Amino acid sequence: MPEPTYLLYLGCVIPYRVLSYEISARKVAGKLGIKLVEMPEFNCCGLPLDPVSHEMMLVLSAQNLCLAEQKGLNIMTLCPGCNGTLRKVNKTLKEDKALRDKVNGYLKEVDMQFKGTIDVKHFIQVLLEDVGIEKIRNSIQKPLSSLKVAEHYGCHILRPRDYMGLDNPESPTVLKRLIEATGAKCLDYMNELECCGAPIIGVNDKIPLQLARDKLTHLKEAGVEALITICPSCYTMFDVNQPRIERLFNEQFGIPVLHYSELLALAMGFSPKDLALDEHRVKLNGIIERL
Amino acid sequence: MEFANVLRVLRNMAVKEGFIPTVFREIGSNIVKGASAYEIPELRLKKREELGLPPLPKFAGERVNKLAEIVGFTKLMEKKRD
Repeated sequence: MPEPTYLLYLGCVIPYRVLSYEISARKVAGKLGIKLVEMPEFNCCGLPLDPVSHEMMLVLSAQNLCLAEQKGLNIMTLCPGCNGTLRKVNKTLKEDKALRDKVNGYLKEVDMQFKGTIDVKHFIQVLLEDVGIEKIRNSIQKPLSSLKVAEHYGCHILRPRDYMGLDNPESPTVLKRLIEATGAKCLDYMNELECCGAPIIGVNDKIPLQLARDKLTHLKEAGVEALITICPSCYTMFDVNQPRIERLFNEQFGIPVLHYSELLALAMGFSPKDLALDEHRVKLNGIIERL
Repeated sequence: MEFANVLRVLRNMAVKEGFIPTVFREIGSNIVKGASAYEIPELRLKKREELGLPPLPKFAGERVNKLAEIVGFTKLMEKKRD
């Protein structure tokens, strides 16, 4: 079977502030035989501009899809927000001829045309569909059986269901299955599916910080040693903002946050140094010592 | 009709009247100028290199800028209402 090959779409947040996520994803992909090709050019997926101009979002997203079509490769994203946007625009333009013609009218001015020939997947979808849990389990060198973690899906990987189709948004299981493949125990906690608050932090910081604080409180109550995310924005809320939340609410959490690919890479035997885990705001010392 | 779409249409209408929160102006301006929502500092690019990551793809700023003009986004961002 030929190795799965994808055009890697990094999005805006990861190169700006979450390099360790990219490092782990590249290492895990290499180990599991997923070939990643660099995007020939980059622009934002358009998600942040949808509330301002839906048309601008459409053309930004469509440009990335066109670049992938020119390369003849499907896109793999690390950010569920980019994934959701690119998937939604891809499906909409494939199905809505009038809108496709309109967008292609704009794209013609920059010598591009959307044809609808490629697909978009998030990294965990690639892991599930192209690699499989069994192969992931077989790649584990250091089972993380002493580690008690919890999952945080974020909003975009599950919703809207019609566009994502990854799992049941009300009762998902995919991330738990992936986590358990590393040997780690995945604990349940209250309000697991609630938003981290990141989408509104630019206009109001009180509500999102309260939301993140509530989740951190539930995680602490459940005895969770690390939170596992698949989204760089959720990661930023829980890791980068955690000291701020602790100061604001006069509480101590000290809950490290890892992207799933970082957890998997540790279980595969990569060292914390290989993975640049010292880039994390909340230090992982307690966990790393035990590994 | 999805509820989120209704909200998005209402927001887009407010923008046409010049009501644009500062954060969206900044992100819009970054994307039009450099194709990315965030201006990536030189130090971060150096860090990528130190960590063994490949260089970032070329940012399609020129093309995005042209499309922003054609779609009317550039003009939209000039509207301002206090």
